[in-house]
Amino acid sequence: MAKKENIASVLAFEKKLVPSDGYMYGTCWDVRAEQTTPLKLQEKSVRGTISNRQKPAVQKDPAKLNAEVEKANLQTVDACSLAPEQDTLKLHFTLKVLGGICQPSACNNAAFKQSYAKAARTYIEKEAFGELARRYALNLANARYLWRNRVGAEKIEVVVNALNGEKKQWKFDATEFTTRHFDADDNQVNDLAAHMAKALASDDDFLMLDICCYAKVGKAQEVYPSEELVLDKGKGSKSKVLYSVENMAAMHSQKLGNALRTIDTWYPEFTDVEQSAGPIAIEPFGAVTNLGRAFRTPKEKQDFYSLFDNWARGEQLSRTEDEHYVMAVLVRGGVFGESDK
Amino acid sequence: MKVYIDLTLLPSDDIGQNFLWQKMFQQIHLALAELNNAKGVQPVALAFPGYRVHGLGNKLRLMAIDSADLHALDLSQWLDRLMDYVHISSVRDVPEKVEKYVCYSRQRSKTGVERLARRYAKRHNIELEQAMAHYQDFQPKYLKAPFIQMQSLSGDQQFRLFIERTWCAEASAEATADFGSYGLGKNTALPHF
Repeated sequence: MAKKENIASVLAFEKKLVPSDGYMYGTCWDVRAEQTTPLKLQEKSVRGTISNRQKPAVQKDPAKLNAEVEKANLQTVDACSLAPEQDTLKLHFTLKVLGGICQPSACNNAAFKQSYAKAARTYIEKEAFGELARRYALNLANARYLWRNRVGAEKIEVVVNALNGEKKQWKFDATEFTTRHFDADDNQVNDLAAHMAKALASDDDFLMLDICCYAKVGKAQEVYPSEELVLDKGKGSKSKVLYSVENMAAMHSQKLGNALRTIDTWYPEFTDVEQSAGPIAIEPFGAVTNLGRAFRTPKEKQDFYSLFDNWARGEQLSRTEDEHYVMAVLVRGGVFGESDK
Repeated sequence: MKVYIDLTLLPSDDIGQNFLWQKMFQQIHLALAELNNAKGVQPVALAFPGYRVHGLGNKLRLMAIDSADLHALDLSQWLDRLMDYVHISSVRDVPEKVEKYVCYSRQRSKTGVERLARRYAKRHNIELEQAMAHYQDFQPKYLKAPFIQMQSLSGDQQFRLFIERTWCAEASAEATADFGSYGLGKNTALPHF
């Protein structure tokens, strides 16, 4: 264990991959680059059936239970789909890649700041962000950020433009890149990765990318914008609210960011066929909320804090993969101060 | 049944199991319908090894007597766009010793009076109005079985394909079984393992 006199109780990192919200348009595959129309949300009223489990009190009373499950379940929900003549969804967003990872945005302990900066520089000298950038670039190429819209899509094209510095364009057929692993070796991806790595490894440089993703999902098909978390559900109000910006269906920037940093294949259970969740998003405890599980628990010393606390004070980590993971959490950003009491 | 293929759903954040069932089953249904058209009968049966009261689990099993039928399905073609979300096993032999047998069948809900009346009118060869009168005091019965949300390919209708499981004492004669385009059969007991 490293000595703990150098404790930063205030420690924060800004995120280094900054996506915008994603805006959704409808188009036809053959004219996808020229003609697009913004997608609007539609409100639907549907009559469902009561299918959730009933409260124990109701369950025990047969008459009440029957009355309860025989009520129609009227709901108003938001939905979004392509127009009848359209077969392709366009998702548009921008992504800023920032440098300066050696400098925390806030740190109240000079000794810690120094030892951290040294560890980060050693990593950059050794790895130059090659592996992380390659994985981020693959997640741009495989269109993971389409989330449910990606499932079953017939064709997917991704067009990435660099908006600053050297004017460059990359085009990907996303169906050629799987979301299950990062073994692909592709010249276009490697080139995009090299540009991203350069920005990440820099002290104060940045890269601005514009991403247009086209997915042929089929005529008039439903598409899936982000769902808003409704904390205060009033009676009779809408039970499903989708995200829109100025009347245009959209995806939250957080959701795009989550997809881009879904690169963690280094957690212990990844190789276990039964337990594995595939690549998971970079999170300090490896939390996957939908599965209600954390894959990196402090008990197994595989969580960010267990690894970071020693590494930032000059200790070597036993595996390069752990270094990748720690750096990826710093790219994600967050508040990581520890109690000095 | 002699051979089988297991399909395993690989859900992840945001892309849940029920959503994947819906997407995968639509393709399986098409594949089975195609085989049905080509052969006149449909010899592949579906089983749900992870079947529970509240869901179908994460596995779909396709079973047949002749492995040629499973190969003819050409699943990797039908599931081509879902390969990141579904794992397809190779064709495997059904274990020789099986202790339990099971039957999966479709359950139709009795909730829509009009649909029931249409059917009643047809069966009894009477006018729809008379049939409606027959169902005057009708109380809808809701099903509790697990289901797959389906999209009708002919219309824009959504419907639920309810699947019921019944345990059977022993295997039934299955050589001539025809499982239709949903791969479900009321009268055929399949080995459960």
